[in-house]
Amino acid sequence: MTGRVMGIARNTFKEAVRDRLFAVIGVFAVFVLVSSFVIGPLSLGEQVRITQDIGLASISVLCFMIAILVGTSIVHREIDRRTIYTVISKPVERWEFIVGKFLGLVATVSLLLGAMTIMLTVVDYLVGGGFPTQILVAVLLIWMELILLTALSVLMSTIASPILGAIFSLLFYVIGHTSADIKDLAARSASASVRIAADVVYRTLPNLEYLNVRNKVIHGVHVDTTYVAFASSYALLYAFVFLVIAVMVFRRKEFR
Amino acid sequence: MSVLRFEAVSKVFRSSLRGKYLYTLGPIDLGIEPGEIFGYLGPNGAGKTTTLKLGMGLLRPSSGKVLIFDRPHDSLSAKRRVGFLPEQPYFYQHLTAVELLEFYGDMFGLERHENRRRALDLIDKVGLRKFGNTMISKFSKGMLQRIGLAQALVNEPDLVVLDEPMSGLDPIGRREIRDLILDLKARGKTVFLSSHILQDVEMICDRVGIISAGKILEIASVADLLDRSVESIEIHLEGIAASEARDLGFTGASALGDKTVVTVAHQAEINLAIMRLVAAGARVAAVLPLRGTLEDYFMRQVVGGEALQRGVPGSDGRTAGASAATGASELVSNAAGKQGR
Repeated sequence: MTGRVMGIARNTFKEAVRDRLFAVIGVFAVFVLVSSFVIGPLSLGEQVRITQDIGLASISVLCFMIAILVGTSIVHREIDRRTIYTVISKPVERWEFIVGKFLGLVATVSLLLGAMTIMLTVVDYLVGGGFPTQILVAVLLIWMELILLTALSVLMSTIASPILGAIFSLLFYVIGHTSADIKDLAARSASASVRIAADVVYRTLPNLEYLNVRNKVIHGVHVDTTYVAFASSYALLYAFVFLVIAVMVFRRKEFR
Repeated sequence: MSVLRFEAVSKVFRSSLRGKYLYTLGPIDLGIEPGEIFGYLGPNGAGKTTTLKLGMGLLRPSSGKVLIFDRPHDSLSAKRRVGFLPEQPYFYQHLTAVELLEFYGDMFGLERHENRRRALDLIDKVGLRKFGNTMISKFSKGMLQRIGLAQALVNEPDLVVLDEPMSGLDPIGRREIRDLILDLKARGKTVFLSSHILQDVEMICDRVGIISAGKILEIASVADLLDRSVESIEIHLEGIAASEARDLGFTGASALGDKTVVTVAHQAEINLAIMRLVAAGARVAAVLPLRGTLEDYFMRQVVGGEALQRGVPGSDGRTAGASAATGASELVSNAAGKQGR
Protein backbone atom coordinates (compact mmCIF):
# COMPACT_ATOMS: atom_id res chain seq x y z
CA MET A 1 0.00 0.00 0.00
CA THR A 2 2.66 2.52 1.08
CA GLY A 3 4.75 1.65 -1.98
CA ARG A 4 1.87 2.39 -4.34
CA VAL A 5 0.92 5.65 -2.63
CA MET A 6 4.55 6.76 -2.59
CA GLY A 7 5.00 5.67 -6.21
CA ILE A 8 2.06 7.81 -7.28
CA ALA A 9 3.28 10.67 -5.08
CA ARG A 10 6.79 10.47 -6.55
CA ASN A 11 5.41 10.49 -10.07
CA THR A 12 3.17 13.49 -9.30
CA PHE A 13 6.14 15.32 -7.78
CA LYS A 14 8.32 14.62 -10.83
CA GLU A 15 5.55 15.74 -13.16
CA ALA A 16 5.06 19.01 -11.27
CA VAL A 17 8.72 19.95 -10.87
CA ARG A 18 9.52 19.05 -14.48
CA ASP A 19 6.68 21.31 -15.62
CA ARG A 20 7.72 24.66 -17.05
CA LEU A 21 5.29 26.38 -14.69
CA PHE A 22 7.34 25.29 -11.70
CA ALA A 23 10.53 26.75 -13.19
CA VAL A 24 8.77 30.01 -14.03
CA ILE A 25 7.39 30.38 -10.52
CA GLY A 26 10.77 29.42 -9.05
CA VAL A 27 12.54 32.14 -11.03
CA PHE A 28 9.83 34.59 -10.06
CA ALA A 29 10.30 33.66 -6.39
CA VAL A 30 14.02 34.43 -6.55
CA PHE A 31 13.25 37.70 -8.28
CA VAL A 32 10.72 38.79 -5.62
CA LEU A 33 12.98 37.90 -2.69
CA VAL A 34 15.97 39.64 -4.23
CA SER A 35 13.84 42.68 -5.01
CA SER A 36 12.77 42.84 -1.35
CA PHE A 37 16.46 43.07 -0.57
CA VAL A 38 16.78 45.98 -2.98
CA ILE A 39 13.54 47.77 -1.99
CA GLY A 40 14.27 47.42 1.74
CA PRO A 41 16.81 50.28 2.04
CA LEU A 42 14.24 52.71 0.58
CA SER A 43 11.98 52.17 3.56
CA LEU A 44 13.83 54.30 6.11
CA GLY A 45 14.68 51.99 8.98
CA GLU A 46 11.92 49.49 8.27
CA GLN A 47 14.13 47.31 6.08
CA VAL A 48 13.80 44.13 8.14
CA ARG A 49 10.05 44.45 8.45
CA ILE A 50 9.61 45.19 4.72
CA THR A 51 11.82 42.27 3.75
CA GLN A 52 9.89 39.91 6.00
CA ASP A 53 6.55 41.27 4.85
CA ILE A 54 7.29 40.97 1.12
CA GLY A 55 9.03 37.65 1.69
CA LEU A 56 6.21 35.98 3.61
CA ALA A 57 3.52 37.37 1.33
CA SER A 58 5.31 36.16 -1.79
CA ILE A 59 5.93 32.72 -0.27
CA SER A 60 2.24 32.45 0.51
CA VAL A 61 0.99 33.66 -2.87
CA LEU A 62 3.45 31.78 -5.11
CA CYS A 63 3.02 28.49 -3.29
CA PHE A 64 -0.75 29.03 -3.42
CA MET A 65 -0.46 29.49 -7.19
CA ILE A 66 1.37 26.18 -7.60
CA ALA A 67 -1.14 24.39 -5.37
CA ILE A 68 -4.09 25.73 -7.33
CA LEU A 69 -2.71 25.72 -10.87
CA VAL A 70 -1.27 22.23 -10.63
CA GLY A 71 -3.79 20.86 -8.16
CA THR A 72 -7.01 21.70 -9.93
CA SER A 73 -5.94 19.75 -13.02
CA ILE A 74 -4.16 16.93 -11.22
CA VAL A 75 -6.85 14.22 -11.48
CA HIS A 76 -8.74 15.74 -14.38
CA ARG A 77 -5.62 15.62 -16.53
CA GLU A 78 -5.08 11.92 -15.81
CA ILE A 79 -8.61 11.18 -17.00
CA ASP A 80 -8.45 13.57 -19.92
CA ARG A 81 -5.14 12.16 -21.17
CA ARG A 82 -6.20 8.60 -20.35
CA THR A 83 -3.05 7.92 -18.31
CA ILE A 84 -5.50 6.82 -15.61
CA TYR A 85 -6.36 3.64 -17.57
CA THR A 86 -3.02 2.03 -16.97
CA VAL A 87 -2.95 3.02 -13.29
CA ILE A 88 -6.47 2.04 -12.24
CA SER A 89 -6.13 -1.32 -14.01
CA LYS A 90 -3.12 -2.06 -11.77
CA PRO A 91 -3.69 -3.25 -8.19
CA VAL A 92 -4.26 0.28 -6.92
CA GLU A 93 -7.12 1.30 -4.65
CA ARG A 94 -8.92 4.43 -5.67
CA TRP A 95 -8.09 6.14 -2.36
CA GLU A 96 -4.41 5.34 -2.84
CA PHE A 97 -4.48 7.20 -6.13
CA ILE A 98 -6.03 10.30 -4.58
CA VAL A 99 -3.77 10.28 -1.52
CA GLY A 100 -0.71 9.69 -3.72
CA LYS A 101 -1.62 12.62 -5.95
CA PHE A 102 -2.22 14.79 -2.88
CA LEU A 103 1.09 13.87 -1.23
CA GLY A 104 3.00 14.42 -4.47
CA LEU A 105 1.58 17.89 -4.78
CA VAL A 106 2.20 18.65 -1.09
CA ALA A 107 5.84 17.62 -1.66
CA THR A 108 6.05 19.95 -4.67
CA VAL A 109 4.58 22.89 -2.79
CA SER A 110 6.80 22.11 0.20
CA LEU A 111 9.90 22.14 -2.00
CA LEU A 112 9.07 25.61 -3.24
CA LEU A 113 8.11 26.73 0.27
CA GLY A 114 11.34 25.32 1.75
CA ALA A 115 13.53 26.90 -0.92
CA MET A 116 11.84 30.28 -0.56
CA THR A 117 12.06 30.10 3.23
CA ILE A 118 15.80 29.47 3.06
CA MET A 119 16.20 32.41 0.68
CA LEU A 120 14.09 34.61 2.93
CA THR A 121 16.12 33.60 5.99
CA VAL A 122 19.36 34.49 4.21
CA VAL A 123 18.00 37.82 2.97
CA ASP A 124 16.60 38.57 6.44
CA TYR A 125 19.98 37.81 8.00
CA LEU A 126 21.74 40.05 5.47
CA VAL A 127 19.47 43.01 6.19
CA GLY A 128 20.13 42.57 9.91
CA GLY A 129 17.04 40.69 11.05
CA GLY A 130 19.06 37.93 12.72
CA PHE A 131 17.73 34.38 12.71
CA PRO A 132 13.97 34.76 12.50
CA THR A 133 12.50 31.96 14.66
CA GLN A 134 9.07 33.57 14.65
CA ILE A 135 9.15 33.85 10.88
CA LEU A 136 9.45 30.10 10.80
CA VAL A 137 6.24 29.93 12.85
CA ALA A 138 4.51 32.03 10.20
CA VAL A 139 5.97 29.76 7.50
CA LEU A 140 4.74 26.67 9.35
CA LEU A 141 1.18 28.03 9.32
CA ILE A 142 1.50 29.03 5.67
CA TRP A 143 2.47 25.40 5.06
CA MET A 144 -0.65 24.22 6.90
CA GLU A 145 -2.78 26.53 4.80
CA LEU A 146 -1.14 25.17 1.67
CA ILE A 147 -1.88 21.59 2.72
CA LEU A 148 -5.52 22.56 3.18
CA LEU A 149 -5.63 24.33 -0.20
CA THR A 150 -3.86 21.44 -1.91
CA ALA A 151 -6.49 19.02 -0.60
CA LEU A 152 -9.17 21.42 -1.79
CA SER A 153 -7.70 21.65 -5.28
CA VAL A 154 -7.37 17.85 -5.51
CA LEU A 155 -11.06 17.64 -4.57
CA MET A 156 -11.87 20.25 -7.22
CA SER A 157 -10.00 18.29 -9.87
CA THR A 158 -12.18 15.23 -9.22
CA ILE A 159 -15.41 17.15 -9.74
CA ALA A 160 -14.74 20.07 -12.06
CA SER A 161 -12.73 21.16 -15.07
CA PRO A 162 -9.38 22.81 -14.26
CA ILE A 163 -10.63 26.31 -15.06
CA LEU A 164 -13.79 25.96 -13.00
CA GLY A 165 -11.78 24.32 -10.22
CA ALA A 166 -9.28 27.17 -10.19
CA ILE A 167 -12.08 29.74 -10.03
CA PHE A 168 -13.75 27.88 -7.14
CA SER A 169 -10.46 27.53 -5.31
CA LEU A 170 -9.67 31.20 -5.74
CA LEU A 171 -13.12 32.11 -4.45
CA PHE A 172 -12.59 29.78 -1.53
CA TYR A 173 -9.24 31.43 -0.80
CA VAL A 174 -10.72 34.92 -0.90
CA ILE A 175 -13.73 33.94 1.23
CA GLY A 176 -11.46 32.11 3.65
CA HIS A 177 -9.38 35.23 4.15
CA THR A 178 -12.40 37.51 4.55
CA SER A 179 -14.23 35.27 6.96
CA ALA A 180 -14.53 38.02 9.56
CA ASP A 181 -16.25 40.30 7.04
CA ILE A 182 -18.65 37.53 6.09
CA LYS A 183 -19.51 37.01 9.74
CA ASP A 184 -20.13 40.72 9.93
CA LEU A 185 -22.35 40.54 6.89
CA ALA A 186 -24.27 37.65 8.45
CA ALA A 187 -24.95 39.77 11.52
CA ARG A 188 -25.79 43.08 9.89
CA SER A 189 -27.38 42.55 6.50
CA ALA A 190 -30.93 43.84 6.13
CA SER A 191 -31.89 40.97 3.86
CA ALA A 192 -32.72 37.71 5.62
CA SER A 193 -31.58 35.56 2.69
CA VAL A 194 -28.21 37.30 2.55
CA ARG A 195 -27.89 36.85 6.33
CA ILE A 196 -28.59 33.11 6.09
CA ALA A 197 -26.31 32.62 3.07
CA ALA A 198 -23.47 34.53 4.72
CA ASP A 199 -23.97 32.56 7.93
CA VAL A 200 -23.83 29.22 6.08
CA VAL A 201 -20.68 30.28 4.22
CA TYR A 202 -19.08 31.49 7.45
CA ARG A 203 -19.86 28.27 9.31
CA THR A 204 -18.92 25.77 6.60
CA LEU A 205 -15.83 27.23 4.97
CA PRO A 206 -12.62 27.43 6.97
CA ASN A 207 -11.39 30.74 8.28
CA LEU A 208 -8.00 30.95 6.64
CA GLU A 209 -7.09 34.00 8.72
CA TYR A 210 -6.49 31.62 11.64
CA LEU A 211 -3.48 30.48 9.67
CA ASN A 212 -2.22 33.97 8.91
CA VAL A 213 0.12 35.21 11.63
CA ARG A 214 2.34 37.15 9.28
CA ASN A 215 1.47 40.57 10.65
CA LYS A 216 1.84 39.45 14.25
CA VAL A 217 5.25 37.95 13.57
CA ILE A 218 6.52 40.92 11.62
CA HIS A 219 5.43 43.28 14.37
CA GLY A 220 7.04 41.14 17.05
CA VAL A 221 3.87 39.74 18.64
CA HIS A 222 4.67 36.33 20.07
CA VAL A 223 2.63 33.41 18.68
CA ASP A 224 2.54 30.59 21.22
CA THR A 225 2.71 26.87 20.61
CA THR A 226 -0.86 26.17 21.72
CA TYR A 227 -2.15 28.52 19.05
CA VAL A 228 0.08 26.95 16.41
CA ALA A 229 -1.10 23.47 17.42
CA PHE A 230 -4.76 24.54 17.31
CA ALA A 231 -4.45 26.29 13.94
CA SER A 232 -2.50 23.38 12.46
CA SER A 233 -5.08 20.82 13.61
CA TYR A 234 -7.82 23.06 12.20
CA ALA A 235 -6.13 23.08 8.77
CA LEU A 236 -5.31 19.37 8.78
CA LEU A 237 -8.87 18.46 9.77
CA TYR A 238 -10.26 20.43 6.83
CA ALA A 239 -7.66 18.88 4.51
CA PHE A 240 -8.71 15.43 5.72
CA VAL A 241 -12.39 16.16 5.10
CA PHE A 242 -11.65 17.44 1.58
CA LEU A 243 -9.64 14.33 0.82
CA VAL A 244 -12.37 12.04 2.11
CA ILE A 245 -14.89 13.78 -0.16
CA ALA A 246 -12.43 13.56 -3.08
CA VAL A 247 -12.03 9.81 -2.51
CA MET A 248 -15.80 9.34 -2.30
CA VAL A 249 -16.28 11.17 -5.60
CA PHE A 250 -13.38 9.38 -7.28
CA ARG A 251 -14.61 5.95 -6.16
CA ARG A 252 -17.78 6.42 -8.17
CA LYS A 253 -15.98 7.54 -11.28
CA GLU A 254 -16.00 5.55 -14.50
CA PHE A 255 -13.52 6.05 -17.29
CA ARG A 256 -15.14 5.97 -20.71
CA MET B 1 -12.08 -22.53 -14.74
CA SER B 2 -12.09 -19.57 -17.08
CA VAL B 3 -9.28 -17.09 -16.58
CA LEU B 4 -11.59 -14.21 -17.39
CA ARG B 5 -15.34 -14.64 -17.30
CA PHE B 6 -18.13 -12.24 -18.22
CA GLU B 7 -21.41 -13.47 -16.77
CA ALA B 8 -24.43 -11.76 -18.33
CA VAL B 9 -22.55 -8.45 -18.27
CA SER B 10 -24.36 -5.48 -19.70
CA LYS B 11 -23.59 -1.80 -19.79
CA VAL B 12 -26.04 0.95 -20.51
CA PHE B 13 -24.85 4.48 -21.09
CA ARG B 14 -27.48 7.12 -20.62
CA SER B 15 -27.31 10.78 -21.32
CA SER B 16 -26.91 12.35 -17.90
CA LEU B 17 -29.65 14.93 -18.39
CA ARG B 18 -32.68 13.03 -19.60
CA GLY B 19 -31.73 9.46 -18.78
CA LYS B 20 -32.12 8.62 -22.45
CA TYR B 21 -30.33 5.51 -23.78
CA LEU B 22 -27.21 6.38 -25.65
CA TYR B 23 -25.62 3.01 -26.07
CA THR B 24 -26.10 -0.48 -24.76
CA LEU B 25 -23.68 -3.37 -24.59
CA GLY B 26 -24.58 -6.95 -23.89
CA PRO B 27 -25.65 -8.94 -22.06
CA ILE B 28 -22.34 -10.63 -22.70
CA ASP B 29 -21.42 -14.17 -21.67
CA LEU B 30 -17.84 -14.93 -22.43
CA GLY B 31 -15.13 -17.10 -20.93
CA ILE B 32 -11.45 -16.86 -21.78
CA GLU B 33 -9.75 -20.20 -21.15
CA PRO B 34 -6.29 -20.74 -19.67
CA GLY B 35 -3.41 -20.62 -22.13
CA GLU B 36 -5.38 -19.49 -25.15
CA ILE B 37 -5.12 -16.41 -27.32
CA PHE B 38 -8.64 -15.13 -27.72
CA GLY B 39 -9.37 -12.58 -30.41
CA TYR B 40 -12.25 -10.19 -29.93
CA LEU B 41 -13.38 -8.95 -33.30
CA GLY B 42 -15.80 -6.30 -34.31
CA PRO B 43 -16.19 -3.13 -36.29
CA ASN B 44 -15.42 0.23 -34.71
CA GLY B 45 -18.08 1.10 -32.15
CA ALA B 46 -19.21 -2.52 -31.73
CA GLY B 47 -18.33 -2.57 -28.03
CA LYS B 48 -14.88 -4.14 -27.95
CA THR B 49 -13.22 -1.43 -25.89
CA THR B 50 -16.25 -1.14 -23.61
CA THR B 51 -16.06 -4.89 -22.91
CA LEU B 52 -12.36 -4.65 -22.12
CA LYS B 53 -12.88 -1.62 -19.88
CA LEU B 54 -15.59 -3.49 -18.00
CA GLY B 55 -13.14 -6.32 -17.54
CA MET B 56 -10.42 -4.01 -16.26
CA GLY B 57 -12.65 -2.17 -13.80
CA LEU B 58 -12.55 1.14 -15.65
CA LEU B 59 -16.30 0.88 -16.18
CA ARG B 60 -18.88 -0.66 -13.88
CA PRO B 61 -21.32 -3.19 -15.35
CA SER B 62 -24.98 -2.13 -15.27
CA SER B 63 -25.74 -5.79 -14.54
CA GLY B 64 -23.90 -9.10 -14.39
CA LYS B 65 -20.41 -9.73 -13.11
CA VAL B 66 -16.86 -10.12 -14.29
CA LEU B 67 -14.52 -12.65 -12.70
CA ILE B 68 -10.78 -12.92 -13.12
CA PHE B 69 -9.32 -16.18 -11.83
CA ASP B 70 -12.68 -16.64 -10.09
CA ARG B 71 -12.27 -13.45 -8.12
CA PRO B 72 -14.11 -10.16 -8.56
CA HIS B 73 -12.32 -8.40 -11.40
CA ASP B 74 -11.74 -5.20 -9.42
CA SER B 75 -10.15 -6.94 -6.44
CA LEU B 76 -6.46 -6.30 -5.93
CA SER B 77 -5.70 -10.04 -5.93
CA ALA B 78 -7.23 -10.34 -9.42
CA LYS B 79 -5.53 -7.20 -10.73
CA ARG B 80 -2.13 -8.46 -9.58
CA ARG B 81 -2.32 -11.22 -12.19
CA VAL B 82 -3.43 -9.06 -15.10
CA GLY B 83 -1.61 -6.86 -17.59
CA PHE B 84 -3.60 -4.36 -19.65
CA LEU B 85 -2.76 -2.34 -22.74
CA PRO B 86 -5.45 0.25 -23.54
CA GLU B 87 -6.31 1.34 -27.05
CA GLN B 88 -4.04 4.12 -28.33
CA PRO B 89 -2.22 4.31 -25.02
CA TYR B 90 -1.00 7.58 -23.63
CA PHE B 91 1.64 7.79 -20.96
CA TYR B 92 3.24 10.29 -18.62
CA GLN B 93 5.13 12.61 -20.91
CA HIS B 94 7.53 13.79 -18.22
CA LEU B 95 9.05 10.37 -17.61
CA THR B 96 11.67 8.41 -19.50
CA ALA B 97 10.82 4.91 -20.70
CA VAL B 98 12.71 3.32 -17.80
CA GLU B 99 11.12 5.66 -15.24
CA LEU B 100 7.69 4.87 -16.66
CA LEU B 101 8.12 1.13 -16.30
CA GLU B 102 9.56 1.59 -12.81
CA PHE B 103 6.51 3.63 -11.89
CA TYR B 104 4.25 0.77 -12.96
CA GLY B 105 6.55 -1.65 -11.13
CA ASP B 106 5.93 0.40 -7.98
CA MET B 107 2.21 -0.30 -8.38
CA PHE B 108 3.02 -3.99 -7.93
CA GLY B 109 5.33 -3.34 -5.00
CA LEU B 110 8.43 -4.52 -6.87
CA GLU B 111 11.67 -4.15 -4.98
CA ARG B 112 13.95 -1.45 -6.43
CA HIS B 113 16.61 -3.62 -8.08
CA GLU B 114 14.08 -6.10 -9.39
CA ASN B 115 12.02 -3.19 -10.70
CA ARG B 116 14.98 -1.77 -12.60
CA ARG B 117 15.99 -5.20 -13.93
CA ARG B 118 12.48 -5.89 -15.26
CA ALA B 119 12.19 -2.41 -16.78
CA LEU B 120 15.44 -2.82 -18.74
CA ASP B 121 14.57 -6.35 -19.71
CA LEU B 122 11.14 -5.37 -21.03
CA ILE B 123 12.45 -2.35 -22.89
CA ASP B 124 14.87 -4.67 -24.61
CA LYS B 125 12.13 -7.18 -25.38
CA VAL B 126 9.84 -4.66 -27.06
CA GLY B 127 12.70 -3.33 -29.17
CA LEU B 128 13.29 -0.01 -27.43
CA ARG B 129 16.76 -0.74 -26.07
CA LYS B 130 18.21 2.51 -27.40
CA PHE B 131 15.37 4.57 -25.98
CA GLY B 132 15.39 3.64 -22.29
CA ASN B 133 16.41 7.14 -21.26
CA THR B 134 14.32 8.97 -23.84
CA MET B 135 11.38 11.01 -22.60
CA ILE B 136 8.01 9.49 -23.49
CA SER B 137 7.05 12.88 -24.99
CA LYS B 138 9.53 12.15 -27.80
CA PHE B 139 8.01 8.73 -28.61
CA SER B 140 6.27 7.99 -31.91
CA LYS B 141 2.93 6.19 -32.04
CA GLY B 142 4.58 2.86 -32.70
CA MET B 143 7.01 3.35 -29.81
CA LEU B 144 4.10 4.20 -27.50
CA GLN B 145 2.43 0.96 -28.50
CA ARG B 146 5.60 -0.94 -27.65
CA ILE B 147 6.16 0.73 -24.30
CA GLY B 148 2.45 0.14 -23.68
CA LEU B 149 2.94 -3.56 -24.19
CA ALA B 150 5.99 -3.46 -21.92
CA GLN B 151 4.00 -1.83 -19.10
CA ALA B 152 1.33 -4.50 -19.47
CA LEU B 153 3.96 -7.16 -18.80
CA VAL B 154 5.72 -5.50 -15.86
CA ASN B 155 4.11 -7.83 -13.31
CA GLU B 156 4.65 -10.97 -15.41
CA PRO B 157 0.87 -11.38 -15.62
CA ASP B 158 -0.98 -14.64 -16.17
CA LEU B 159 -3.65 -12.84 -18.19
CA VAL B 160 -2.74 -10.17 -20.71
CA VAL B 161 -5.55 -7.99 -22.07
CA LEU B 162 -4.64 -6.00 -25.16
CA ASP B 163 -6.90 -3.48 -26.85
CA GLU B 164 -5.90 -3.18 -30.50
CA PRO B 165 -2.26 -4.05 -29.86
CA MET B 166 -1.28 -3.91 -33.52
CA SER B 167 -2.86 -0.59 -34.37
CA GLY B 168 -0.47 2.11 -35.46
CA LEU B 169 2.34 -0.30 -36.22
CA ASP B 170 4.08 -0.92 -39.52
CA PRO B 171 4.23 -4.50 -40.87
CA ILE B 172 7.55 -5.18 -39.13
CA GLY B 173 6.25 -3.83 -35.84
CA ARG B 174 3.08 -5.90 -36.18
CA ARG B 175 5.08 -9.00 -36.75
CA GLU B 176 7.23 -8.30 -33.70
CA ILE B 177 4.18 -7.77 -31.51
CA ARG B 178 2.61 -10.95 -32.92
CA ASP B 179 5.76 -12.86 -32.03
CA LEU B 180 5.70 -11.37 -28.54
CA ILE B 181 2.10 -12.48 -28.08
CA LEU B 182 2.91 -15.97 -29.32
CA ASP B 183 5.83 -16.02 -26.91
CA LEU B 184 3.43 -15.18 -24.07
CA LYS B 185 1.26 -18.12 -25.06
CA ALA B 186 4.31 -20.38 -25.24
CA ARG B 187 5.04 -19.39 -21.65
CA GLY B 188 1.57 -20.47 -20.59
CA LYS B 189 -0.03 -17.03 -20.40
CA THR B 190 -3.56 -16.29 -21.50
CA VAL B 191 -4.11 -13.45 -23.96
CA PHE B 192 -7.36 -11.63 -24.65
CA LEU B 193 -6.97 -9.16 -27.48
CA SER B 194 -9.32 -7.02 -29.45
CA SER B 195 -8.62 -6.17 -33.02
CA HIS B 196 -10.09 -5.26 -36.31
CA ILE B 197 -7.01 -6.44 -38.16
CA LEU B 198 -8.31 -9.88 -39.07
CA GLN B 199 -5.15 -11.10 -40.66
CA ASP B 200 -3.31 -10.81 -37.36
CA VAL B 201 -6.13 -12.47 -35.46
CA GLU B 202 -6.27 -15.32 -37.93
CA MET B 203 -2.54 -15.89 -37.60
CA ILE B 204 -2.26 -16.00 -33.82
CA CYS B 205 -5.61 -16.58 -32.15
CA ASP B 206 -6.98 -19.92 -30.99
CA ARG B 207 -10.54 -18.69 -30.64
CA VAL B 208 -12.42 -15.62 -31.66
CA GLY B 209 -15.54 -13.85 -30.53
CA ILE B 210 -17.32 -11.67 -33.04
CA ILE B 211 -19.17 -8.67 -31.66
CA SER B 212 -21.35 -6.24 -33.50
CA ALA B 213 -23.64 -3.49 -32.22
CA GLY B 214 -23.03 -4.50 -28.62
CA LYS B 215 -23.92 -8.18 -29.05
CA ILE B 216 -21.67 -11.20 -29.41
CA LEU B 217 -22.65 -12.90 -32.66
CA GLU B 218 -20.44 -15.93 -32.42
CA ILE B 219 -17.66 -17.53 -30.42
CA ALA B 220 -15.67 -20.25 -32.14
CA SER B 221 -12.17 -21.57 -32.69
CA VAL B 222 -10.29 -20.09 -35.62
CA ALA B 223 -9.74 -23.62 -37.03
CA ASP B 224 -13.50 -24.23 -36.90
CA LEU B 225 -14.28 -21.01 -38.67
CA LEU B 226 -11.72 -21.75 -41.34
CA ASP B 227 -13.10 -25.27 -41.82
CA ARG B 228 -16.54 -23.81 -42.09
CA SER B 229 -15.27 -21.42 -44.68
CA VAL B 230 -14.14 -24.22 -47.05
CA GLU B 231 -16.26 -23.52 -50.07
CA SER B 232 -15.07 -26.30 -52.42
CA ILE B 233 -12.18 -28.71 -52.96
CA GLU B 234 -9.95 -28.78 -55.99
CA ILE B 235 -8.35 -32.05 -57.13
CA HIS B 236 -5.32 -31.49 -59.36
CA LEU B 237 -4.70 -34.43 -61.68
CA GLU B 238 -2.11 -35.65 -64.14
CA GLY B 239 -2.56 -38.23 -66.87
CA ILE B 240 -6.12 -37.31 -67.72
CA ALA B 241 -7.46 -34.63 -70.04
CA ALA B 242 -10.14 -32.17 -68.95
CA SER B 243 -12.50 -33.53 -71.57
CA GLU B 244 -12.07 -37.08 -70.25
CA ALA B 245 -12.87 -35.88 -66.76
CA ARG B 246 -15.94 -34.09 -68.03
CA ASP B 247 -17.01 -37.33 -69.70
CA LEU B 248 -16.84 -38.99 -66.29
CA GLY B 249 -19.42 -36.48 -65.07
CA PHE B 250 -17.11 -33.86 -63.58
CA THR B 251 -18.68 -31.08 -65.59
CA GLY B 252 -16.55 -28.27 -64.16
CA ALA B 253 -13.22 -29.94 -65.03
CA SER B 254 -10.72 -27.58 -66.62
CA ALA B 255 -7.13 -27.58 -67.74
CA LEU B 256 -4.51 -25.79 -65.67
CA GLY B 257 -1.17 -25.94 -67.48
CA ASP B 258 -0.41 -29.62 -68.02
CA LYS B 259 -2.80 -30.62 -65.25
CA THR B 260 -6.53 -31.04 -65.05
CA VAL B 261 -8.48 -29.55 -62.22
CA VAL B 262 -11.68 -31.13 -60.94
CA THR B 263 -13.75 -29.36 -58.34
CA VAL B 264 -16.02 -31.04 -55.79
CA ALA B 265 -18.35 -29.21 -53.43
CA HIS B 266 -17.96 -31.23 -50.22
CA GLN B 267 -15.24 -33.06 -48.37
CA ALA B 268 -17.39 -36.23 -48.41
CA GLU B 269 -17.22 -36.39 -52.19
CA ILE B 270 -13.43 -36.41 -52.41
CA ASN B 271 -12.83 -40.15 -52.01
CA LEU B 272 -15.41 -41.24 -54.50
CA ALA B 273 -14.22 -38.70 -57.06
CA ILE B 274 -10.59 -39.73 -56.68
CA MET B 275 -11.47 -43.42 -56.99
CA ARG B 276 -13.31 -42.82 -60.24
CA LEU B 277 -10.61 -40.58 -61.68
CA VAL B 278 -7.77 -42.93 -60.71
CA ALA B 279 -9.70 -45.85 -62.24
CA ALA B 280 -9.75 -43.81 -65.46
CA GLY B 281 -5.95 -43.56 -65.37
CA ALA B 282 -5.46 -40.24 -63.57
CA ARG B 283 -2.77 -39.58 -60.98
CA VAL B 284 -3.60 -37.22 -58.11
CA ALA B 285 -1.11 -34.33 -57.93
CA ALA B 286 -2.77 -32.33 -55.16
CA VAL B 287 -5.99 -31.89 -53.21
CA LEU B 288 -6.59 -28.30 -52.20
CA PRO B 289 -9.46 -26.96 -50.13
CA LEU B 290 -10.61 -23.62 -51.45
CA ARG B 291 -11.55 -21.44 -48.55
CA GLY B 292 -12.75 -18.01 -47.93
CA THR B 293 -10.74 -16.11 -45.34
CA LEU B 294 -11.71 -15.26 -41.82
CA GLU B 295 -12.39 -11.89 -43.32
CA ASP B 296 -15.06 -13.33 -45.60
CA TYR B 297 -16.63 -15.10 -42.69
CA PHE B 298 -16.51 -12.02 -40.56
CA MET B 299 -18.05 -9.96 -43.31
CA ARG B 300 -20.92 -12.36 -43.67
CA GLN B 301 -21.51 -12.31 -39.95
CA VAL B 302 -21.24 -8.61 -39.34
CA VAL B 303 -22.08 -6.81 -42.49
CA GLY B 304 -24.17 -9.51 -44.09
CA GLY B 305 -24.13 -10.80 -47.63
CA GLU B 306 -24.84 -7.39 -49.01
CA ALA B 307 -21.28 -6.20 -48.57
CA LEU B 308 -19.94 -9.28 -50.30
CA GLN B 309 -22.17 -8.74 -53.28
CA ARG B 310 -20.91 -5.21 -53.59
CA GLY B 311 -17.40 -6.51 -54.03
CA VAL B 312 -15.75 -5.49 -50.80
CA PRO B 313 -11.99 -6.16 -50.92
CA GLY B 314 -11.27 -9.69 -49.79
CA SER B 315 -14.77 -10.94 -50.37
CA ASP B 316 -13.77 -12.70 -53.53
CA GLY B 317 -10.29 -13.50 -52.31
CA ARG B 318 -10.67 -17.26 -52.38
CA THR B 319 -7.35 -18.66 -51.38
CA ALA B 320 -6.20 -22.22 -51.83
CA GLY B 321 -4.32 -23.96 -49.06
CA ALA B 322 -4.21 -24.12 -45.34
CA SER B 323 -3.13 -20.56 -44.68
CA ALA B 324 -5.96 -18.57 -46.01
CA ALA B 325 -4.92 -15.06 -45.08
CA THR B 326 -5.32 -12.40 -47.69
CA GLY B 327 -3.94 -8.93 -47.57
CA ALA B 328 -6.83 -6.61 -46.88
CA SER B 329 -6.45 -5.84 -43.23
CA GLU B 330 -8.37 -2.70 -42.38
CA LEU B 331 -11.40 -4.59 -43.44
CA VAL B 332 -14.08 -3.13 -41.36
CA SER B 333 -13.42 0.41 -42.32
CA ASN B 334 -13.26 -0.70 -45.95
CA ALA B 335 -16.58 -2.43 -45.63
CA ALA B 336 -18.17 0.50 -43.88
CA GLY B 337 -16.80 2.82 -46.52
CA LYS B 338 -18.16 0.75 -49.36
CA GLN B 339 -21.50 0.36 -47.75
CA GLY B 340 -21.86 4.04 -47.23
CA ARG B 341 -21.42 4.78 -50.91
